Amino acid sequence: MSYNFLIVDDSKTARMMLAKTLRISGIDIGEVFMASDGGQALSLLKDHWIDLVITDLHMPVMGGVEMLHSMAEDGLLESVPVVVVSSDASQTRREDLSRQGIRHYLCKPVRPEQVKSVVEGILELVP
Amino acid sequence: MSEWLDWAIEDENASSTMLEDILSSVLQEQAFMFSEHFADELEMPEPPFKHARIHFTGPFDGYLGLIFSHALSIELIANMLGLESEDITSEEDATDALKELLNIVCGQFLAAAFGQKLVFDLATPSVAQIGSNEWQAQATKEEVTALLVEEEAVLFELLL
Repeated sequence: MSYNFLIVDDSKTARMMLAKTLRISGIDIGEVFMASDGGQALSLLKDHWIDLVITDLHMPVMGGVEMLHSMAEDGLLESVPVVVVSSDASQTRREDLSRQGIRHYLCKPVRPEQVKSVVEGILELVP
Repeated sequence: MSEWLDWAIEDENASSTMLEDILSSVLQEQAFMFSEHFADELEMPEPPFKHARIHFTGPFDGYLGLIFSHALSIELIANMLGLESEDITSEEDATDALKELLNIVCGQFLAAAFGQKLVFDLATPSVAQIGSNEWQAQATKEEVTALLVEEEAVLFELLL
């Protein structure tokens, strides 16, 4: 079974690097959708079946946290799992995000084995 | 916190070496580009250059800067994305790659230098194109250090 991903980041380089990392991680990938801010991501989520969202935090128009709050208020999107990827390595920030309901956090640069481990755990792919 | 700040300000060599190590590691891991410490007289690469900067604020403020030649920045994004240099035709893409590199390096540096308890806000990186004169001026600044990346000088600066 293949899985559809949505990568949300205002940097095209970051989006493409994450897509490349996903592909070489060994996860069975269907389609990889991309958005450059939270607003675009919400539109894509409403139009397509997405198994997992990987998002940056700081983006123009709508950031990652605001997008997550919108998803939490939408009955159709609240159960879509989200992984936050950020260059911010602060543990204090991570704990603050955890209090806001963000459970999965990866620090840039993201390695294929890290993304594989987190995604497999969320999608329960490990037997 | 003040101990860290004292260390960073008083021992510029230590913070510069740490930044150099992180930059080398990220370049190698993300772009398969190998680098080495550069202590000899600097040879200016072929102009023009891209000067990328990221400011951070928090317990204290500062910025990191990186100066790549345009040609090396094209090689950088091609390697980061697993493409050939000829496939990179957009100026915007090369600029974006430098911003992303700086973003990653800054996040890693702040955590390594000051620990994971302190919270910093990273501003959106900016990139400006500069010529030979500006490169020479930057190369002579005290806070600017050079790293040899793929046999070409890359300048980096840290200001706290």
